[in-house]
Amino acid sequence: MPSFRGLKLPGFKDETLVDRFLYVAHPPAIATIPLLQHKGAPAKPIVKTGDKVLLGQKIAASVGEGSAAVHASVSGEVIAIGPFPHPHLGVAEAIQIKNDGLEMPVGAVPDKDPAKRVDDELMRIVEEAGLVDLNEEGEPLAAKLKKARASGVRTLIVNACESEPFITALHVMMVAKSSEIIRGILLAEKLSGATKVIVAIEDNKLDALEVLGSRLYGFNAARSSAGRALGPAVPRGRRGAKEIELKRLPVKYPQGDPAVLVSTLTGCSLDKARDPLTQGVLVLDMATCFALCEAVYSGKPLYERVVTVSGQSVARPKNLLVRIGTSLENVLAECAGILRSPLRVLVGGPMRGTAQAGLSAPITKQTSALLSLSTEVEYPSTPAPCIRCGACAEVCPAELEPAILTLAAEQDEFEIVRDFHISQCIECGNCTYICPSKRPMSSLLKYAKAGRL
Amino acid sequence: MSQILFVSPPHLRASDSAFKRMLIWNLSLLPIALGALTAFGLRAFLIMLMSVAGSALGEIFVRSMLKRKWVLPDGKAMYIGLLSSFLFSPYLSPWASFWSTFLATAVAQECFGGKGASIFHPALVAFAFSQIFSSASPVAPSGNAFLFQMAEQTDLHINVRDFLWGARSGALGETSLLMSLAGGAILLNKRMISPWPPLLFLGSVLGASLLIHVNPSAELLVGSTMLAAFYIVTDYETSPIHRYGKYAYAVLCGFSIVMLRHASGQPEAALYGLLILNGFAPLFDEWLGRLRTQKQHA
Amino acid sequence: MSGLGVYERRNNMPENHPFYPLLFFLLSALLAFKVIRLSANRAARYVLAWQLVCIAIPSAALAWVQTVSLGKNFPALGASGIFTAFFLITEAAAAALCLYWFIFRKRWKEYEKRNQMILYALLLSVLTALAFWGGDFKAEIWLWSERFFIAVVFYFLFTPMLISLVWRTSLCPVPKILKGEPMLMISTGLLALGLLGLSRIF
Repeated sequence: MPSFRGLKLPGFKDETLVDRFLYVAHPPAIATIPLLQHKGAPAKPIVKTGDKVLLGQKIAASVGEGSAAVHASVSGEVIAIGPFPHPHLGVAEAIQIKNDGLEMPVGAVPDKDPAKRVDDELMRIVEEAGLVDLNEEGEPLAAKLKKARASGVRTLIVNACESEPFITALHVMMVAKSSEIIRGILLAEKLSGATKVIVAIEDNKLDALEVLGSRLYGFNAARSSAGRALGPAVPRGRRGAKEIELKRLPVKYPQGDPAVLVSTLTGCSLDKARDPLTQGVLVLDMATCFALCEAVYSGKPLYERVVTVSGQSVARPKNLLVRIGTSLENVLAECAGILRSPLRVLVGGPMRGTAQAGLSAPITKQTSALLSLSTEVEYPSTPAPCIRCGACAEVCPAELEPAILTLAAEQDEFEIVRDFHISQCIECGNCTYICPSKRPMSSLLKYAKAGRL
Repeated sequence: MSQILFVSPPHLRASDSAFKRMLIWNLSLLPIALGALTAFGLRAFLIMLMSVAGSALGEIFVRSMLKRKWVLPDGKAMYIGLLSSFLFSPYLSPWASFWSTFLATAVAQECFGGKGASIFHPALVAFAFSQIFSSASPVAPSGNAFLFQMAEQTDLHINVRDFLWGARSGALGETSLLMSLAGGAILLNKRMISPWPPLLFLGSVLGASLLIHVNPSAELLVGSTMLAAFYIVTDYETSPIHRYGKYAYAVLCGFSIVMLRHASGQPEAALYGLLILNGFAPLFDEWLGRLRTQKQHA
Repeated sequence: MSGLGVYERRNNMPENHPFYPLLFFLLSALLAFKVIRLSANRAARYVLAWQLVCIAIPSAALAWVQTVSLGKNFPALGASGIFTAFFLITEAAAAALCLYWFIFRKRWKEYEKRNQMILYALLLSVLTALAFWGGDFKAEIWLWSERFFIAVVFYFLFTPMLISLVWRTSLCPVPKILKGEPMLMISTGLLALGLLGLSRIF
C-alpha cells in the first residue's frame, strides 16, 4: 500500500476516548433545525408557524439536485421559521420547534427484511429519510448511490477512520452498534452495485477492531458457506462481494480524508482520488452506513447523529447521540459544562473545523464533533516571515510546496500559484500545523485558490 | 462565556518555533567559535564581536530606512555575524569585518525582504566583501600552500589528527574539523537538518576529487568543506525547499567546491562558487514545483 | 594534470585581463534580466534558449577547436574575423527567429511587452557582438579565444541562473518600489561581486 506524507497529530491517541459508551443526549427544549444541511439548495419548509409536528415528521422538502429533506427531531409546535445561527454559515434559515416532551413519533414502519424490497423502493426510502453524507460535504445519499450505480462502481470503501484528531465518534459507534453498521454496509453495497467492500479502520482502535472483526468474520463465514446466496440483505441470485474486507491503516492525519483514503487503498494519485467515482470507487462514512440502516430497518429518518464532545476544557468528554437542532450550549451542558474558559470552540475537528463565535448554533447533520480547546496557540499579529525550512513540503499529502505557494500568494503572484498546482491542495492543514514561524498557511492557500480564478 | 476566539482552521500547532530553531543553530556554532578562540585568541574574539555588531547594525540601519519594524533580537544577527566571521581570514582587521557584515546584511538580507528572503547567503556575501576590504594577502598563507602540495601528491600520508584538532591554519572557522563536526552533530541531533544533504555534499566532494585526480582526503579535511557541509549547503534560506532540490543542490555544491579550488589555485575560491550556486538554488524549486511525477498524475 | 588548465595564468597585463568579457557579459546579463522580467517567462526562455543554441554552442566548439588543435600559429586577424562574422551571423539568425516568432505567431500590437522584449534581444545581440569585435583589435588570437571561452562558460552559467533569479525575486517580500528592476539590479550586483572575486583569482 503506498504511503502518503502525513502527520501523527496529538489527539489521535486512544486516551482521548475517555468513555467507550455511547451516551444518549436529552432531547432539547427547543430544536433549531437549519434548512441547509446538505450540498445543494436549502430545503423548502412544508410546515408553517403554529403547526404541530411529530417526531421524525418531514418538515421541509428537498429542492432539486443536491438538496435533501429535513425532519423534525422533536415533537411539538413550530414556533418560528426564520434566520437563526448556523455553525458554518453564521446565520441561515431554520425551523424552530418547541419540544412538547411527548416524543410522539410519526408512524414509522420498521422493516425486518429489506431483502424483499426492490432497489427502487429502497432508494425512495433513503431519499424520504433525508439521508445525506454525514461529513462536511453533505451530498444526498440517494443521489450519490444512484450516481455510483450508474457509473458502474466496483468498490465500496467504508471510511471508519476518524477524519481528524480528537474525534472518537466512529470508534464508539463501532463498539456499540456494530451489527447495525454491518447491515448498513450491506445495504449500501446492494444499492450501489459494488462488488467489493473494504472497511478501512485505523490500527489504534483495538476494541473496535475486535468487535467489528469478529462480527465480520462470522458474517463472511456465513456468506461463503451459503455459497451463491450472499448475506441477509442481498437477494438470492445476485452476485455481491465475496466477503467484506477489513483493512487496517496506520494512524496518520489526514488518513480519514476521503481522497487520501482512496489514494492509499487503490494506489491512484491524490488528484484522481478526489473524484472517486472515476476510479470506480464509492466512499461512504461509517456513520452514514449506520444512518442508512436506521432508515431502512427502523424506518427512522435522519434526525439524530453521534457527536464527539471533547477538548481540554470540557468537563466530561463524551460521545453523544444528539438530536439535530440541539444548541451547542445544551450539548456542552450534557457534558457537565466547561472547566475553564476555552480559547476556541469548534464544530468539527481541530484541523478543518469552524470556530464558533458563540454557543447558540445548533447541531446539524454535518456536525461530527464539538471541541472546546484551551491550549495556547500562537496567532502572530503580523505575518511572520517564511524561514524556508521546508517542513511544510515534507508533510503535504499532495506533495506540493506550500512555502512557495504562500510566498507567492502574499505577493499576489497568482501565475506562480497556478503553475505550482494549487488546485491539488486538499486543505488538510498539515502545513499550518508544522510551520515553525506560525504562518497562516491555510488562509493564504485559500486566498491563493480564490485569487487564481 | 468570557472569551472565545474566532479564527480560521487549523486550530492545532506544533510546538516548534522559529526562535527556537535559531537558538539551536546559534548553539551549534559555539563549538566552532571555541575552536577559533583557541586557535587565534583575542584576534578571533574581536573579529567575531565586530561581525555580530555589523550584522545587527546593518539590519537596524536598513530597516529604519525602509521604515520596517525591528525584529531584534531573534538570533539571526548573531548567527550571520558568527558564521561570516568563521569565513574571514584571521588577518582581517576587525573594522573590515564589521563593514563586511554590515554591507552583507544590508544588501543581501534586508534589501531582499528581510529574514528568510535572501537569495544569496549573507555570510558568503560578507566573505566576498571582506576580500575587497582586506589589504593584506587575501587568505591565510601557509595552510593553503600545504594543501596544494598535499593535493598534488595523491599518496601522501596525511596527518588526520592535525586537521581534526586544528593545527592547520586557514580562516577562522576552518581550523578545527572536530568542532565543525560537533556543530553538525548538534544540528542533526535536534533534527534541524536532514542528514542527506551534508552526506551527499561530502560524497560529491569525494567523487569530484577522484574525477580530477586530487587527493580526496585533502579535499574533505581542509578548509571550509566541513563548515560548508553543515552550514551553507543546509541553510534554510538559500537552499531549495523541495526535498530532492536539497539533494541536487548539495551534490552541485560539492562538485563546484572541488572544481573551483583547483581551477583557481586557492581553496577560498570555493566560497565564491557557492555564492554563485546560491543563485541556482531557486531553479530546483521552480523545476520540481512545476513538475508532477508520474505517480501524481497517474 | 591537475585542475582545469586550458589556459595559462597571467600577471598584471591589463589588455589581457578577463575582466573585459566579464564586464560585457554583465551588461548583457542585465539586459537579459530586463528581457525576462518584461515578458512572460516561457517566451523569454524561448528567446534565450535560441540565443544559446545559436551562439554559445558553436562558439564554444570553435573556441575549443582553435585553442587546442590549431595552436598559436593561426593568423590573428583572419581567425578573429571568421569568429566575429560567425558570431554576427548567428546572432542575426537568433534575432530573426525571435522576430518570426513574435510577428507571425503572435500579433504585433497585442503584446506591447513582447515588442520591448524583441528590442532588447536585438540590442543584446549587437552589444555582445561589439564585445567580441572590440576585443579583436587588441589581442592575439590566443587571448581572444581564452576570453571567449570564459565568456561563453559564464554565458552558459548565467542564463539558467537569471531565470531562477527572476522567478525567485518575485517571491521576495519587498516594498513595491523595490520590486522589478531595482531588485534585479541588486541581484546582479551581488553576482558581479562573486564574479569579481573569481576574476581576481583567475
